[in-house]
Amino acid sequence: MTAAYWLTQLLNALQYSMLLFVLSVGLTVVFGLMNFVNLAHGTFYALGAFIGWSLLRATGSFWLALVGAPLLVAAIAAVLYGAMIARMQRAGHLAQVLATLGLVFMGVEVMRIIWGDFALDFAAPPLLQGHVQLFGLVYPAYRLFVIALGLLAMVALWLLLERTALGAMVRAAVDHADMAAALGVRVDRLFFGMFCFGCALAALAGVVAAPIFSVYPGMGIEILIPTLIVVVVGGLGSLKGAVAGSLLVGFVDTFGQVLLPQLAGIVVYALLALTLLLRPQGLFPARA
Amino acid sequence: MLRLFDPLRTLLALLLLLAGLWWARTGDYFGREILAEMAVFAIAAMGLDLLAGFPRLVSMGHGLFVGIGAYGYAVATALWGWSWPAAILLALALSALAGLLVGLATVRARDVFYIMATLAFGQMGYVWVVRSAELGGDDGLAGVPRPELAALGLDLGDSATFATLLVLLAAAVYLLLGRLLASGFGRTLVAIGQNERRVRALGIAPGPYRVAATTVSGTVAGFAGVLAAMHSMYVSPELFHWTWSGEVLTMAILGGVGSLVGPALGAAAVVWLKYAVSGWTEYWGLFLGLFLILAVWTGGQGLYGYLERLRAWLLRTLTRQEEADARGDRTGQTLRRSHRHRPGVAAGGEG
Amino acid sequence: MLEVEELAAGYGETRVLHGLSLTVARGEVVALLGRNGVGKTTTLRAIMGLLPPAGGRIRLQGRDITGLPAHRIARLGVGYVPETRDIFPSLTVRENLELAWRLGRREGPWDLESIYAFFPRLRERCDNPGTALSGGEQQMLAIARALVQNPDLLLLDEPTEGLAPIVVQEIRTKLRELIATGLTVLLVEQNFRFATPLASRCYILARGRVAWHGPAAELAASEELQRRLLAV
Repeated sequence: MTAAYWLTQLLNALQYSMLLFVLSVGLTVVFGLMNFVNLAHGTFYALGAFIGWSLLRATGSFWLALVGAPLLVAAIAAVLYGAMIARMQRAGHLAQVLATLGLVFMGVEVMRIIWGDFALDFAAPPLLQGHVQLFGLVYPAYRLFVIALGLLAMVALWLLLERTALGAMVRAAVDHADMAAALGVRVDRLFFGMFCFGCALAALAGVVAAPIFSVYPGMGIEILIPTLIVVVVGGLGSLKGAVAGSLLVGFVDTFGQVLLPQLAGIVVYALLALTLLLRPQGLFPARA
Repeated sequence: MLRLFDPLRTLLALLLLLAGLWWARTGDYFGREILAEMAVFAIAAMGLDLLAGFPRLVSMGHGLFVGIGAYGYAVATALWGWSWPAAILLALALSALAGLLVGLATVRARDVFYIMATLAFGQMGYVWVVRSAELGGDDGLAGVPRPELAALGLDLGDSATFATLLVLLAAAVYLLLGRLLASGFGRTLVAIGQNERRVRALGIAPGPYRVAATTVSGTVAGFAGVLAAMHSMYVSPELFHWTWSGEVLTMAILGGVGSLVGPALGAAAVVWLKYAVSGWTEYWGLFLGLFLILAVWTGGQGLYGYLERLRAWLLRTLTRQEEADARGDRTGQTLRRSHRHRPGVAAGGEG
Repeated sequence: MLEVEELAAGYGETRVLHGLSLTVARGEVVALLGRNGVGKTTTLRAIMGLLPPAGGRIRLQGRDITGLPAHRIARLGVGYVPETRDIFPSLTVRENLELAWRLGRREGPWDLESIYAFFPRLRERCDNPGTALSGGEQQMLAIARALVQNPDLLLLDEPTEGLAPIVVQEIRTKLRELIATGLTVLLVEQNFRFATPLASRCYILARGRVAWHGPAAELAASEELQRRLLAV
């Protein structure tokens, strides 16, 4: 176990954390706004990967897929929201959550029908194929790109939420939705926008993850659980919580597999149980 | 609280039981296999109803308990060579313990938070089993025996006998849970579902009730797991998977939570549909998802909710005719009000 | 300015208001008094559009606003200062005010500069997070946040609750100054001794209905009324 080995694990953990961050941030902000959790969030992640795959095949450009898939998925999310979730306001938010579970079941089948049952290969762009020398360590260039992209997303989202008028509105609505409405904020429209934005981010994560894990219908079902753990551990509704939660889950999971191989994959659930018991509101909840 | 003798509920339960017994006698082999599966799912869904229908804790992690029950029985019999009664006891004890632990870990979570927490804990079992070589990993464990009841003159290898037994066991679970829910315990669970703060204000700590309900619910789900293992004589990690939990939840909601018989009806209906649809499409999930969406869209009261509404409408029409000679239709209004007591799973919680 | 007719509202199956009627004329300060739980806050929430009314009519400057969503009512010129103040904790004092100001978009005497001039303490604390304020400062921020939108009608819910007497005094002075500018206010108060000197008319609620209404001076003079309806 050399220094290079540990550095590799560190980078792996960071890369997984960044993926989780891009996935969880939309989910957590939407939850903060309306107590609503989209169980089909992972489905949009998988859909992003599939649509990205088709775009890559049609155009040959990874970058076009990276931009186009999130936009298309956001459009699909907008339609689903308008046709289904918005019409269920009266049924209560628990009903809306359960309806998104229905979307999970249907989404997997739709993807099987369109793209088939088998895993599809997704090539990283030529620019990012190969390895990079880093502090005497050889590391895949693409994974470094994932880390950079995640950091970029973090900064961009921080600026958006903390430094813009729109961000102030989102924070206000998360803090006190009624008061924000009484000042003239259209909380429902904000919620709709964040829902679609969150789905677009999930799709972005899907395209980004595709060259690492390949693309298959069940990928969304698999990623949902770690994403939810991030949201619960980090605390609902806050950017800070999404950052802290994804780093914790990413590092605990990666190093858990290395240090406690016999408990591989379980450690992260212990983290969840501990959080629920000691700090059920999560590390940095938006509403104390 | 569940009324101990609600005529509609009792009638429907009896009908289901009789239909099951009749089917076990007259159906073909394939039909009996389906019937046994229905019974297993019905037990799991009734166990889930104890949480989702009364304290309104919508658990998405019941696969954990089902899986523990199934693997507990499978490991004890197939790997360790235990006798079947000891294996069943072990499986039930383990699933009860799991229910207790999950109940404790989630005792402060509500609503959507509770869904997320149970979802995650359910998946823990899946990850554990898939990676465990001793438990067969992805492949699961085969060679799980059915109990030897030759002494009673029963051969559980016979599909008719086995299906009959499972239907009877489902009825027994229904009676036991009905008894439990008709007690003061059931009343407290309903009160917790309606307004946990008010329960606390009355000086009752909801925590122990929630943990107890989760433990019982987990044990019942574990029992369903034991029966599932006996039924297919094989266990696979799929039992643990969260989509399996979601399927059971769909059955319960489709049938109508909070009525105990509704989830059993939902289980029978969904399993039947699954096989009916499998003849011409392999994309069953499309239908399952659609059913769930429709069930919650229409208010989350499920099939049993519609039956209750039908009964209320019938009673109203009948009494109105009787009282047409007298005057006023106040009776109709009173009835309407008295039948509104059971909101579906989706209706909002604390005010 | 505001006419409420036979308003009914509640939470879930529990009805709180059973046909409440009141009016507020332009430039008038009207106090809504009553014991705990008679529906004072519910009335304000229903007027603001935060609680869909189960019956009755609400008119603002002759226009029917019954059932409109809160953000529309806000844009029609109703300002709201809730009992809980609801300062946004993740926004600074400045952001709290700027958000309201940007959303307000109405002509009037108030802008950020004049608000800071009127509440100098808020300028001193403008970079503090909303939660780092004292109770009195939070109350002033809540009032300032509503004012900066230049509302035609201000709904003010228990502005003195939980505040020390000296702070209550300070709030009273500020409110007097505001009222002198001709602001229309519907003031909810538990403490009628605070409300009657500020208001011209009072409504006393009991069990979701108006039990008495009349000039504030009459209530201030009648110990019998106070004892019977306010339990003092």
